[in-house]
Amino acid sequence: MSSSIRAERVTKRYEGTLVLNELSLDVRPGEIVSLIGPSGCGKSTLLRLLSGLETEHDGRLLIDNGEVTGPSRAAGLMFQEPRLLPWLSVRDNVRFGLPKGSANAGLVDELLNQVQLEHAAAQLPRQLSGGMAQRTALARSLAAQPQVLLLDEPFSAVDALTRMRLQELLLDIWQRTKLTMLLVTHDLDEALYLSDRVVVMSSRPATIREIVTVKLPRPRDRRDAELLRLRAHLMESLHVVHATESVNVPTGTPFGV
Amino acid sequence: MSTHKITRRAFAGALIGAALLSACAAPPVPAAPAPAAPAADTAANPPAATGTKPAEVRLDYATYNPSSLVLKEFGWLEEDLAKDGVPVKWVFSAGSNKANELVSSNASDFGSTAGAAALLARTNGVPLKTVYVYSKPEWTALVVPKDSPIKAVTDLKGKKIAVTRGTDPFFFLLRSLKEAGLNQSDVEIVNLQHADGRLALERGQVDAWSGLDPHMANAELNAGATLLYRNIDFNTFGTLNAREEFLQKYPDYVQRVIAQYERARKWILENPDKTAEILAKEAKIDLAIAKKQLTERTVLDADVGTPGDKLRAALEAIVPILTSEKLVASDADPAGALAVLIEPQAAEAALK
Amino acid sequence: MKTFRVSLNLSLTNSSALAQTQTTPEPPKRRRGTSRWLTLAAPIALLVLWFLATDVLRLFTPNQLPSPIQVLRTASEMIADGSLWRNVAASIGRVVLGFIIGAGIAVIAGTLVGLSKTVETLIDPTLQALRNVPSLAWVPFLLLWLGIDEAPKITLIAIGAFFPVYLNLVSGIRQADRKLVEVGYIFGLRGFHLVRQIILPSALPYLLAGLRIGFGQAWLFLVAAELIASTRGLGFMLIDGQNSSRPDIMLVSIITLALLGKLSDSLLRIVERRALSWTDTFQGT
Repeated sequence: MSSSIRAERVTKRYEGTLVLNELSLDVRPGEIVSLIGPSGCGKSTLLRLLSGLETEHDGRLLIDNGEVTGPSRAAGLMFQEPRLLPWLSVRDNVRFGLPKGSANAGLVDELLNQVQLEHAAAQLPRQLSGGMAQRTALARSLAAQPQVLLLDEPFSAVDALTRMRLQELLLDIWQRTKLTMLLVTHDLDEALYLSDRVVVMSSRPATIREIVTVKLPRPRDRRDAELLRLRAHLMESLHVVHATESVNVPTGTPFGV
Repeated sequence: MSTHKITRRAFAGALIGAALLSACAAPPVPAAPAPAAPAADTAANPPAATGTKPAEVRLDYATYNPSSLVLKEFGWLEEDLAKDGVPVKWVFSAGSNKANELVSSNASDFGSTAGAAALLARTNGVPLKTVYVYSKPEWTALVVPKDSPIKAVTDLKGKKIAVTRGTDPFFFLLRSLKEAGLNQSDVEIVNLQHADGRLALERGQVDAWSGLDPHMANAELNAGATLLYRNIDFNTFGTLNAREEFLQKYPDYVQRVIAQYERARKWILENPDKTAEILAKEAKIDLAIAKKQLTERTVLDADVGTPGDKLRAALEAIVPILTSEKLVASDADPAGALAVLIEPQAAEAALK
Repeated sequence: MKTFRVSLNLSLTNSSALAQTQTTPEPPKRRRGTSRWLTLAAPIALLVLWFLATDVLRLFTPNQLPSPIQVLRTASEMIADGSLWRNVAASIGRVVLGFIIGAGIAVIAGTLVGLSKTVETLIDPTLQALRNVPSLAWVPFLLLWLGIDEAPKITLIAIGAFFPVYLNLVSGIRQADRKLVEVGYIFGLRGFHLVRQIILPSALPYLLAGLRIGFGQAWLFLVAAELIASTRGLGFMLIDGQNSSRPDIMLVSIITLALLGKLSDSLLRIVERRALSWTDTFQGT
């Protein structure tokens, strides 16, 4: 059910600016990997390329050794905004994720249960809180039964408490499905709480500066000393990245400070 | 609660309110106002008068009123009124219905209509008076296209007939139908102004047409149309009507207009060919058509001039039709209107 | 105006805590009673003014402006003998048929133009030019080409209904949220399915607004159509009243047209509200 993700020397340009430069990354099946780094450093671009929403690039992108040629059900993508279809109820939004032609009502109900929205199944997106909407989006992504799940800052638009709950939920799902997850986030705590590895990236062009492995078993305690230590380490790493950039960045570039 | 109920209730509430108010207020004004006390005239462009002369005199001209065309062509009225510094304005009328509208809305002081149309207007409250008969035409008949299978008026049952409602052809049609034992609901009447009616007949869009000259003559000569039914007695004269207020304020000017009309009439009798040319030019028709209308179907030397018994008799036949065909409001009084419609004084003075 | 009720639970791993975040629904509906009377105020005031101006103050002669009593009497006669209903039925039939045809074509054209830049360049400029031809200017041509029966009338009405629906639909399609379209791509939707499931529902608010406006236009064009060569209908009543110096009939016609127009608009509004219950927009204060 879950697959590996591989990026091989991926290069991407936007209007002449180099966004990704020969980036290579491997994610093992069932692994949760986070990408952190400055804004605009290409993290989202990588996810979009992996999801097939964008296709122009050099290098190879593989999911389970199959090349990514366009959007497919193999890779689910969650955005920062829930992006629910406003005219559909919660249930219908989740059902939207199902493969065409399949009428798997059972799966929809199960997913609604998993994200604890069974009581809100008939509500419309405009009636939902941010957290509920993201849970619906998550259920929708899962309805497609993807092999990998790509998440682009999925919880950054909700309050801290909701964010923690959503992280719990994600882990819950991971426990059940062992879905491979590649997560872009700005939240160091989130990265450390969830991931097996945290990839620190620098931008212009995006390159991997450092990969930090988190060997703690799950469920993790957020107050764990090891996590705190790793957090400090990541901060240091990011600080350096930031410092390097302030020196190198010409003003007026698209991804400028 | 649905919002359309609001509108219905609004109207109902308003109606009830109005009905209550009316119970307390004065009784409503009857449809034909008594000639002695006309209401204030607050219409579109009343001419501002200084002393006893009007600021201008507005007349209509029409292809069914050859005298008006002659007058307009030679400017005799302008000459006469220039002595008093009163300008003249001419307005085109496409039919009796239009002429009535011009007078009713105070866009003209004079309107040329069929006698029946003037009676219709007067019954419906238009403040006009018939002051002069300008012609005794046989200008209307029932027309069918060339090679039409319709041979008698009774064949018109269930057919489409074009006519301009409110004009002499319309009354002619109703009377012809009645004579043949039919009424309005036995046929399909398509309302088209005279010129459009002819086109509809020629294009085969209608089966018959109650026509009016010169369009009728045009259809006969150029499209081979035939006159299914003629009846000179069903034609109700060409009358010149004056706006009542104008007549009351400036009777001498009405007299002068009539005097010029008389002059035109006499000139036409002496110059038929030239008249045909003028008509042809104005109506944009062939000379032959104009001649046909003027020579075959317009009488200008008998039963014209001062409006009198002949006109009254013709209109008395119209009175019952107005009510029976629901052309007037149910509480209207066509007979009463006829009694006050004809005003011969100005003509008598002019023709002395 | 949403209020949060979050039930705090210190055990962060207690997943049932998630179920307790909720929102309260939309703001309370406006009190219906007062607004209904407000709606009635203007028509009642107009009626009173009309009555005063005619029967009481005699500012107008009956042939210029008949009193409301006279108009009411004429209307009741026309109702009693069935002629009002016959004319209303004829007009409604034409409006509905013309609207369905015009709006139907507009939906097809609008969808094609909205989705394809090529189609847009091909036909939109011509349509924009035609849009500016006023209703009455079409009449002579339609009479010439289509005769004097129902065809030119229905066509004219269809023309009137077409443009607002077309324009609004194109706008609606063009404003479809790119973010939602991406969602469609991700879940494997292409071409026809993408349009049907994402783009058209997105455009629905615009389309419904266009339909409402289009229906109003259909009524206007109906009257223009019936002014010429008709034997039945409210427009015919209008011109017949004009031809026979019966302003009371003209007023019955105009008032009936106004009421029918308002009624149909209200009905469409109800449909619109139901169909757009999912939108999250400003409703007025």
